[in-house]
Amino acid sequence: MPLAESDAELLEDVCHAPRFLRHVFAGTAAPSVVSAAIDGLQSACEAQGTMGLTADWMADQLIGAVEQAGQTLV
Amino acid sequence: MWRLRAACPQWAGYTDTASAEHARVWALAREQGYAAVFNTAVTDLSRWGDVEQLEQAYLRPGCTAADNWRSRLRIALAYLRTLAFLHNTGSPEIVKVCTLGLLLTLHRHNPGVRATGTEANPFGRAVVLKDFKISQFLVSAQRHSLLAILGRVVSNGGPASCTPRGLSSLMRTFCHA
Repeated sequence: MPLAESDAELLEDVCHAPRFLRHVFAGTAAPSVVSAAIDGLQSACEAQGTMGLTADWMADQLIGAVEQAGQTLV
Repeated sequence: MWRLRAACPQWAGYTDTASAEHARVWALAREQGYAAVFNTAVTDLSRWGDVEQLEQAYLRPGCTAADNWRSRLRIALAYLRTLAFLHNTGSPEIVKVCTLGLLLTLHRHNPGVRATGTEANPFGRAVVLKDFKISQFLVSAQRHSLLAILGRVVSNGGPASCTPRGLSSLMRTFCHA
């Protein structure tokens, strides 16, 4: 089912995020899980028919990846 | 539970800026001396309904000076939460109030940002892209508490700068006050 125009616009904006996140972390010694998580977000954005993709979900994915790697957020 | 006025015309409970309800709430804010707080926040936040401007705001030196990856992680998370706030098309819920803290954090790091055209009448013209009107994120219950918190946050110079402790503390304040 094609996305409604408004949903497509929202998804487009949310899918700006992975590119922006790479920019944010550029030049830092971030653990590999961070870049892997961003790769995962990018893949989610590129998946056909993705629905319900939200920036909150992306944040949770990023937090989860860092925590699973045994890193603290602070 | 915090309840917010709908900020997007597509939401149930949307209140137009020209409505009597909108005027009544802002009159209350003025009476209590908090109108300036909202004036400042609304004016500066309105332009960040645009994703690219939002990105640029988060990339300003105040936020990205540190090369520490954890500092950048905090920026990344703040950005995502703010993006979620701006693009949330659901019904009013507590997360929107919590995320307002992130927006205020962003405001603190961009004190020079001014939205052209909104200064003369920041409430009436605080229309951002995609039909979002930040000025309409008003609390319809317990608004007195939120007004008080906002006043305290601003008078203290804003929440802690881009630190997770500061953000968490502020979010707890919003959620549990």
